[in-house]
Amino acid sequence: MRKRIQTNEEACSGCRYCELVCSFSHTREFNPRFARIRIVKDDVIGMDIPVVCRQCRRCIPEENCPMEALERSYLGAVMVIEEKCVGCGQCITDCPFGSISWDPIHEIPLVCNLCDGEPICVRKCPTKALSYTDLNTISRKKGVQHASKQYKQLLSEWGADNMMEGF
Amino acid sequence: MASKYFGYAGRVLRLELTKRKHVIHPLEKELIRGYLGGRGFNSKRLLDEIPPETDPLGKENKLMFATGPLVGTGFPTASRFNVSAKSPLTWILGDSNAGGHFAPEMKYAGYDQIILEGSSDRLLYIFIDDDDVSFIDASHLAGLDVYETTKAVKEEIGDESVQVVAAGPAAENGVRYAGVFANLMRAAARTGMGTVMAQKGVKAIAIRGSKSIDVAHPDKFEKLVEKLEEDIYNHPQYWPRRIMGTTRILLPLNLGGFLPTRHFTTGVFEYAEEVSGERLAEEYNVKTRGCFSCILPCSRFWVIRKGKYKGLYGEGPEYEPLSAFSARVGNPDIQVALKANDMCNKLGLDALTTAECISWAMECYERGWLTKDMADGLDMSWGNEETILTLIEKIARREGFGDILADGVKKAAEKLGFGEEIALHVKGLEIIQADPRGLKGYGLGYVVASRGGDHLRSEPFFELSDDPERGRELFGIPETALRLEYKGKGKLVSFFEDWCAITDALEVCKNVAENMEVLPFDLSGEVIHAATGIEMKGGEVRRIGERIINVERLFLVREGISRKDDTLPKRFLEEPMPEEAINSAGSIFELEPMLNEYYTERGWDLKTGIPTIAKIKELGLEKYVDNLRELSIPLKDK
Repeated sequence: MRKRIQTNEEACSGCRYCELVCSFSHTREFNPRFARIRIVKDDVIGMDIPVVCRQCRRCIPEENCPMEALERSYLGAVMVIEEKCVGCGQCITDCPFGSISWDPIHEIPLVCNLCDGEPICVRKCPTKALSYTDLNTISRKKGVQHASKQYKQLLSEWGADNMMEGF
Repeated sequence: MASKYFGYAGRVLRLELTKRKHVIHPLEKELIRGYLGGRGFNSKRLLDEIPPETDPLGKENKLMFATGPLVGTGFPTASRFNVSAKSPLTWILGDSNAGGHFAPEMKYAGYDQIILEGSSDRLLYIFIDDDDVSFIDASHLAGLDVYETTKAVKEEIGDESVQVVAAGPAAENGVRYAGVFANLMRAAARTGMGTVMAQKGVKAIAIRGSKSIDVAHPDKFEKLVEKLEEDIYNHPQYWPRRIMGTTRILLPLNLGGFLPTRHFTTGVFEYAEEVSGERLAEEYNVKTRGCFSCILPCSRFWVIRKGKYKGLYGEGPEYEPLSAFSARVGNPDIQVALKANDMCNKLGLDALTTAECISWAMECYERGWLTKDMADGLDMSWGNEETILTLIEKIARREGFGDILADGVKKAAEKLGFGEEIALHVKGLEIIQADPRGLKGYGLGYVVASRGGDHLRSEPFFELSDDPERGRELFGIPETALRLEYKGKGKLVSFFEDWCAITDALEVCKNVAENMEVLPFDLSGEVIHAATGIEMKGGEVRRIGERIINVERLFLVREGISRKDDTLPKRFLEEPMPEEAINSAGSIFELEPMLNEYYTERGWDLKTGIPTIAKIKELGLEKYVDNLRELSIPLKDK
């Protein structure tokens, strides 16, 4: 099943370690501008939210790139074919999540390529704010969480709190 | 776009405020070799460019921001900068350090050091966008607090990711201990660097960069980072620090009987539990936040959900301000301490110095020296909530009694003509929140610190280890491991001073690199090599630390500092810790033997505390000898 990078904004500390390891693993240079993931922050309210491509269907290579410089990898990641890209920026304006970054030095869009199935940002995130999973697993996990909570409530109403140990 | 420097950005930016011009010059290779970065760069340049008797608030003073060779790389915790100038509070070396995200952005914009010279007749903010520098009128920002200023600058530039350091209204009003604030509350608070910035007519500096930082040996660098990651993640202090940050030490200090309470009149606070890091974590913290590139994020976002301050939120605080606005001022309410800290951040004040001024006034009141009338009618009893919060505001605005406290505790005592013997400062800088009678090594650290009464120049945490065998092994003196002993502390402090100088030069986090012992001299040498390509053994690294300490000492010596100034307030030398401070009861601070040992260790003249010519030469600083002689500074050969 296709996996994607999932973010947990409550866990993200805003350290931007992901930006650094992303930049370094792709370019051997340290530069957040070369990162395919970035943290959007607001210090006043303590906000740190990772923004990265979520492999949705919105980005259709044939439609979002007039130069046909976008394609999907075997992992489902959106890939930019640098030789074809003219830097028009349409993919960036089209992405409703702001997940495509702009590299101002080489003037090309940057999209997460999932590091061949082992995203380094996920591996290196100090607070486990990033994970690499498929939506089915997430959906099931969430479903179990929600159902358990509901059932616990019922058990409590029944006065059968001791049964909760089963959870 | 790779620069020819590895690790370093390779350039220095000088901002001439009077003419609103800027000059960019290459970073001097000798500066790198001799001083490594950050605090080292600033201290060396201050010695070269700020002659003695310069007026700290005049246009001849220079304000320098510097960062280090690891900042901007993925090296864990490398995120910090030092901001230095001659201090308007102490009239000696002014210097403060902060984390956040400002320092790496300096590097990405292409600068290791930014120097503010001259002064502007109108309030400005400066926007540095890679190589473009704009001096922008900031008259509309006058009087705005640190948060409002930061927000306004980001909005005007139209980019939330631009990094900003700002000064608050306290700095504009000339309070002598106003700080420079990065990311709103990453405070370079000590010694009045914000005051210098605002008096130069600069309200804020915004910076944005797009350049890369290259390391010389990427594979080696990557391996070293992996080792560091492992050492940090597996460290026993990892989780306590992650959950509580530095506030985790409040209860242990109380247990040890050296938690400064009611202006150091005792070492135990009966409400310690209520104002502890544990309480903060359990009831108020909602989220972890971290500085740039930090894998041990220790800052905490908190929200007050009920009570009088319901709806107040913010970040931190560190142990020092939390403890200072609770135990030191005798306040048992953690929410008041959070509010006080929030006010200091927004007004742009050094929370520690502010708390010393307030708690000093409270003690003066208790002793009957200060009357209610003199204090604008405020009830100066210990812990009075209204008094604490009102005085913070009054200090920042320089109103009434606040105006007297706005010059620091030393000046306040001089002006009022009482309380000098209980004004708790060293060389004009208010002492931090740990009683030197219960921590002899730390105390010696305050005595000799180049910026005055502060622990961050030495942090000799080893004396808390209670492991005399290891003390013998490492320093040849078992007592170095025992906090109440004075023997061996000269040796201990000089070792840790050198270490702290290196963490400040590399601009990594002292909590992790030094306190958690993950970046000793040898490993620093390896990391420096991997990042910059410069080969360096551990001994050479320590030698750089020693050189930084000596350069700072020469700056102080030139300003008239000598052995007579290396002391602590009488309280610590003459009043034993009271009985109730059980685990430190009866202890006093043995200044003379410790100082002798320290000077001997340093190669400084025992009589004057001035580095000997032999030491000066050994460190390659002989070019300063003539200058010192011209100033009639007594130099001994060895």
